[in-house]
Amino acid sequence: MSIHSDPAVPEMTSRERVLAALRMEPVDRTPVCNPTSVATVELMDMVDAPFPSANREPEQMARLAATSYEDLGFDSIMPVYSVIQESSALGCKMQWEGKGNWPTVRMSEPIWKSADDIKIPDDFLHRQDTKCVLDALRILRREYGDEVAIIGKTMGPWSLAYHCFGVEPFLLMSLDDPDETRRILDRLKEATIQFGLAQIDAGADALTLPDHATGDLVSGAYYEKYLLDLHTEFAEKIRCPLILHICGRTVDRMKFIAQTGMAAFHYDSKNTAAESMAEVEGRIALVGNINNPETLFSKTPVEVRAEVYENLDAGVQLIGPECAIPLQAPIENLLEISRATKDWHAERPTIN
Amino acid sequence: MTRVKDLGSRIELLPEDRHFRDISIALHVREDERGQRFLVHSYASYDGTEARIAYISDELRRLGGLEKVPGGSYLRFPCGSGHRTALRRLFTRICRRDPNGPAVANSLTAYDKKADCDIIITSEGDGRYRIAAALETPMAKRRIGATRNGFVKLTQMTAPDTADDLATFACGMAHDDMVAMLLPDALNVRGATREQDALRSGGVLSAPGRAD
Repeated sequence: MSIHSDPAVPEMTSRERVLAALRMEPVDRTPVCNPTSVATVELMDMVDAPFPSANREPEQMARLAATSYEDLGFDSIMPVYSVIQESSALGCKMQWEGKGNWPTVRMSEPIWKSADDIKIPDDFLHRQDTKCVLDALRILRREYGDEVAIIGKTMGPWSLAYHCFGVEPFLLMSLDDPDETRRILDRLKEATIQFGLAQIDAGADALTLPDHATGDLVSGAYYEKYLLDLHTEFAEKIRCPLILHICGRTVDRMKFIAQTGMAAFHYDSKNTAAESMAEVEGRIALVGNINNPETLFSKTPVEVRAEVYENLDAGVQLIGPECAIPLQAPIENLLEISRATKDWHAERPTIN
Repeated sequence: MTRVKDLGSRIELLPEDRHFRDISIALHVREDERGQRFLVHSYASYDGTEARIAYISDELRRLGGLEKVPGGSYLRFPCGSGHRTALRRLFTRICRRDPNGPAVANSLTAYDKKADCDIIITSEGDGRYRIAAALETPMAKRRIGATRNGFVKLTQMTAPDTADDLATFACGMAHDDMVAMLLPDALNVRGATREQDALRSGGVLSAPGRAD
């Protein structure tokens, strides 16, 4: 049973609904939120904004992002589809791919070897792939005003380190040389903060902060050792609701994540809704966790609905896919997330 | 106001059409008291999109044996069944084929490299198809069974335990066009399955730790 939806709350706009849920305040109904991408190849065709240009041209980026609100019934718009905008601006080698695939950083060709190599360029926020995000946010804010929550994204230093140093070298360094690892994270955090603050200025209501200390690579103890303090610092310095995103099984670090002061944790379907809610004990909102690779990609609206209901039954504050959805996901499955959320509330009109 | 159309369930998607401006093209099914009806659709709106969609629909009729449902753009099998597994494969093959390439010879006979002879399919009526080889070598005999198994996998035909050269459509109707179109895939079912899987595996975002 949801403890957050309150029939006494007058009807909210989408923006009010998302922001209230991020503050864990009562809402008229649970918001449907996408802290990460819901772009598909069919939506790209619908608005003539295909990858890779929708990652690099602000008008296309904004147009494609708006389909989440205009066409899929989400309460949020999130225009940053990939995880590479900052890394491209930092000088990483890129593979932009085509319409049907995600742009990636060539992590096998790292650009730095030590903390001393790290330099955040003076024009970091003016390079094409960071500026594109800022311009897209301005377009969306101008277009939608206070109607819908506009969410930006700034990558955390752990993810940026994968891109700039390579996954394996960075993880090995974290074992062999903790001090150097901390220096790297400390220097890279400037990119996270700069880009985050610039997005708030450009009109973002909230920011997703992916930092891929993922369950399959990094333990909960590692999270506490390297990231807890940094994430707490982000929550203090980046003055808007932050939604931390980490993929994989993360129950072992949720108690730490709940201490950071971030508004929400965007959690993966490898964690059940009930165990995750129990673990965070109401200290941080949860967003999620509809499964991507199986449910949204290859199952039917019936299974999507079941997962939405499972989250709502557990009291999860914001409903959405667990991560960036596959580009071939059927639109009917994405539509079902918002339909099922509304139906769940309609079936329980007296619940408070 | 959503621009999403209610087209029924999407059962197959070509994410990027290499023959027309990289548009996505989907195959939908709608199932009601009128049976199963299929629709080819794209959300793209470039000049020429409608013609491309019409071409694929026409090819499904010509090469797959579907027919037009009166009064609309939907297609159906004359038997009223879905044959979805086979249809999805047909749709992908037609979409990926060069429209300006040589015409497809829709034949129930195809050369099989492994058997080094023709594999010949004969329709025996009531949806039954007999598979034979032009040579009587041990390899040719094995390839008859392999081809039959290929059809079972690609079309969900049923295969009696008593005869490894026989496959049957449950609807009890002949589908010569579809069998002919899928014969090359049935001879190389592993390759056909790999191709289909590869098509479907694109577009999934990996976390940075897995994306190198």
